[in-house]
Amino acid sequence: MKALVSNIKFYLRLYFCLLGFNFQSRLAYRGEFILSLVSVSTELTVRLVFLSVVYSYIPSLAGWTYPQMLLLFASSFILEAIAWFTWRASIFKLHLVVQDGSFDFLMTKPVSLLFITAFRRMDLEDVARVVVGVALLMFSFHLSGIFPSVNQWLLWMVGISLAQVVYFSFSLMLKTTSFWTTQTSEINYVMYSLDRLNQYPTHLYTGFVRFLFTFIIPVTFISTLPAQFLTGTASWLGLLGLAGFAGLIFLLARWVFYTSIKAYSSASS
Amino acid sequence: MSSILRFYLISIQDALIYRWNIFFAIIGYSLSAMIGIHIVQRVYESGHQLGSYAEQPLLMYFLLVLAMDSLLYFGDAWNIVEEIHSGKITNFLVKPVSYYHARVAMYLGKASVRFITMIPALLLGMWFLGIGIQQLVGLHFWAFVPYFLIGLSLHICVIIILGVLSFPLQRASAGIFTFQTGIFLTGGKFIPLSLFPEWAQHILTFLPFHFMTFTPLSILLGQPTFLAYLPGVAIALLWLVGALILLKLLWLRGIKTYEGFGQ
Repeated sequence: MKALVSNIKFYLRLYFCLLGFNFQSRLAYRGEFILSLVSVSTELTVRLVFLSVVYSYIPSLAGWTYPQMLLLFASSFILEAIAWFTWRASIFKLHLVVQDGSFDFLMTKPVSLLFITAFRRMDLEDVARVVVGVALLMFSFHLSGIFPSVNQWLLWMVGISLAQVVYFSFSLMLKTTSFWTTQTSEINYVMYSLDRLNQYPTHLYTGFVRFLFTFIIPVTFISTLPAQFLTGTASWLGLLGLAGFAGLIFLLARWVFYTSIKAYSSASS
Repeated sequence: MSSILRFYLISIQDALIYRWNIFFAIIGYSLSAMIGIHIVQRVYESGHQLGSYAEQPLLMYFLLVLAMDSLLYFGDAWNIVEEIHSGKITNFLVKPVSYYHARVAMYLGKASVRFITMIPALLLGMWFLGIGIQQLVGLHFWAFVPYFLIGLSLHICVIIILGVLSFPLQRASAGIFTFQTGIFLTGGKFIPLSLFPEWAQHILTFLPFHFMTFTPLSILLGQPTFLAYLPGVAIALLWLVGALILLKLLWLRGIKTYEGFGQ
């Protein structure tokens, strides 16, 4: 137990150390950093404009009203922000270190390979997502006139953390194909599409597509379910299901990652 | 001409080396298109309507956006940024070929491969949506072709301009991303522009981006556009000429200040 606590402390220190490095390197190009903030905000605005145009013609979509849909958007923006602040940027660029052989340097570090692969780079401009997400959350409550209870907030916070594990595990499994096929830059477009999918409830889909977006591409667990904790349409039982799924998919992703490394040839280094 | 053709062929070979990457691109674009398609299906199932569109043309619109996506991509803008930033562009400058002719040839090479590999996904989408091949016969292909060619040229110009901006700005990646997102919305990739409120449509008419996706596709589907056919072609051509002049100016200015720092 003592060893586990000291391990957690060590990795937390390492994370903040890496965060500091990333902060310094991003601020080396201040103009670019400010432009990146604008860029992220534009991206979120575009998504909201699309939603507003659709809702200007209809009262609800697949049973979700406009305020509820805004809430789902807000929840997914916050989920994305946490991802970009932690693992997303590193996983996004995994194919580059595999291609140029610099993955060797990660393998030689005296820390968990999965940790250093996932947390070596963070995109700090994505703080804009938190700002827009929180503002949107408040706006959706204002529109609907319904404020969640403490219990619902608690469920959402635990839910969003577990959803993060699912999101990470799924993305990791996608990007580990880099070890097999070397060039996987276009998988990033799949990940971008996943971001867009995350903003819509899985109730939008029917039949096989719904099954696909629940168990194969776990959109339900990443975004719909956590948002449902806030709308009050999911309970503790849902959280248990999410926890079970998160545990399973993380173990699977970890296994896939360490198995895939065996295909790494270090050819370009 | 033969050297440009060679760039085109090399680009096709390059794209075919990483076949899995193309497959992933198709998956990504298809997933994105599925959102629009399912939204339309749910809206019309609930008895509502989006603007003056009937369900089938709107579904067709999203499917055709998928085809356009394979041809109008932004990856090359980042490649140009990288070439300028790392100094690799020097390799081109010392060769007796025009950099942007080579870039256009390479772009078209990749686009050809992407489009061909997108065809099975399109056919699958048509089957899934119950759209028969005979419905394609009713599309206005001949009216579409001039708009499409101008739109494609404009798109290629814009991405080279965005890349070349790296000469004065050092790093223009964030700018490219902002532009890309803006063009997706104002070009009609996410939703047909005629669904926007009227005041927004007025603004969008004065921008060139609707010539890249919305206008060609609306013409293909026989849907109303912002401008009458021939005046629209004339305005699109003017935008293209303007973009070419801007590109030339940025290039000449950029080359003067370029230091070849890097590799």
